[in-house]
Amino acid sequence: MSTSSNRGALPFDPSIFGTDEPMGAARYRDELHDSALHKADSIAQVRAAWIAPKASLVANNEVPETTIHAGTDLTESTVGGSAWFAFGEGVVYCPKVKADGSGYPLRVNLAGASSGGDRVDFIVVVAPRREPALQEAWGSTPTGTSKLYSDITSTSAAWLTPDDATNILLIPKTLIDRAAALESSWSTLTDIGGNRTSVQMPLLQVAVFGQTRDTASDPELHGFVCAEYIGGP
Amino acid sequence: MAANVPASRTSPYRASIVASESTRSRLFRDSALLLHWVRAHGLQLIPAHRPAAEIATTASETLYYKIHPSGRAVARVWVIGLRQSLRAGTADSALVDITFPDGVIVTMAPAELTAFGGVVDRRLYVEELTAKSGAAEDVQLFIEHTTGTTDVYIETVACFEMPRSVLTLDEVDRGVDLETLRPGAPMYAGQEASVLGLAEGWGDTRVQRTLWSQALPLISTASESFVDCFPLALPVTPARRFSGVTTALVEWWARGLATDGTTAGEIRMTAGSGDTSTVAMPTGSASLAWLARGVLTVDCEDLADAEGMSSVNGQDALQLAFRRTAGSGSVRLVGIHARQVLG
Repeated sequence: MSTSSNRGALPFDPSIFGTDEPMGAARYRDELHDSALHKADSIAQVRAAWIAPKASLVANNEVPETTIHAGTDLTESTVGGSAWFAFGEGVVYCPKVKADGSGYPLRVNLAGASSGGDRVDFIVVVAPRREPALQEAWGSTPTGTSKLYSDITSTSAAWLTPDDATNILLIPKTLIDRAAALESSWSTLTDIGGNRTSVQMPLLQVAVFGQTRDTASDPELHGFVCAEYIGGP
Repeated sequence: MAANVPASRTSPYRASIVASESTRSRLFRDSALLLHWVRAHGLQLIPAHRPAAEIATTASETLYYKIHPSGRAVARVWVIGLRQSLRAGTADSALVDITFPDGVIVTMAPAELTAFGGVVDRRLYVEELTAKSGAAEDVQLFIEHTTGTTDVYIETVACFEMPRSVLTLDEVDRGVDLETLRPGAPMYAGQEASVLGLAEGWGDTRVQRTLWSQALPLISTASESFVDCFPLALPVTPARRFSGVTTALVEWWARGLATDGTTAGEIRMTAGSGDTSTVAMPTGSASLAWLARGVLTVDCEDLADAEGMSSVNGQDALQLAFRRTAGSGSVRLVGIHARQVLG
């Protein structure tokens, strides 16, 4: 949730906190402190933003792949049952971590459709980069940090509403801890031209899977947006 | 000297600051650590996206991006996801060379698409920088299919700044010497020290958010009426800057060209909340280039809402459209970049 009581910064002149300036606690609290908290809340980043262009506009036969498999790469007979198939849009990112050790939640938007009008399902899964995300999604009742979009039958691309009716996906502390434990430290520099040092990056992946209940229909992914959000009230 | 950066943010306790009472120095220290965290944990320069570029044997693809760095990062992490079609035989295996912006070439053998859908091979490459700069940069990835006969697909590209482990006590990093904030320490006007250093650090810290940075397959139109580039608008939610405001300025660029020197066009960005911004592709634009900057107003994040959406319009969204305004050729686009304007 937002940590700034004003839910926004208040413009201030840093020089008012200079040596010769009187500084009241209230001024510090309302101007500097609250603005700082808001900036920390708002440093949340957009981790994925993609939408497939209209195929009719694509020149040089570079038709964008919107379906779960690339055209002739797989025959429809291999797409069926309850198996989940991964889309290619894997997101790997270094999460912003809150004071309680959990990650900034993600606001997820997924655009999809069913190519033939039969039921297809989508699931968005967050997992440590070094763990197989598919494990989290496999099966009819996925568990863990995932978001399900089930029973999609429309053949027109649309931004879908998840089954739990919220676009927010929480990133619990356990997920961050697992990711941190699986990542070795990354080598970096203290500064340009500085000494070599290491830094921890608890890298997470956000993976999108689809499944079809009829081989006549493929799940089609048309767009995906995933952005950190500190959370509402 | 250097300022340590915590792995997770702090939350200095607001309620402990009471008017007309002493403020504990512990609070200043927590605020300094929060400042270090915000300034040292980098930005997402290119949100993950799918260029959907197919590279046939011996062919190559160049992906163009505009990035706005934080100015404090010393390294960037590139995430590249590739795969190759089902092979007919081992000799068909594809190899690609990826040339990163620092000139380093990395060879990669993408995973093969299998009957189970296959796995996208993701390569993480750390690009160490030679200077800290907050200036906008035009960067490109050059991906060349060097070996084998199976097609290669670029499935995902993203780039983010690697977090710093320490900040330097200077006017670029603006780390604050924590010793000057300990109990009993005098308050003075040293650079990157004491409460003034803290205030100047926060005054210099601006929220920055790349909303959309997508390398497109070449899209083209000869229509003289605006044609939407995408079947759906892309949801975007810029950060709220000041308390009480409901909108934010978003600046955007398109990269493209006209098929000949006498053809001209226009590119238009439209927000779902109503504002539009149009930039011209003048005659003589036969070479690929980033066009002039456009700016439009977009609904910003509402932190009172559980999902951060505007109470007036819901979540805002951007749609790009283009058209030909002169000549007989086509107008073509290969990239889009939109970010929140700094105030």
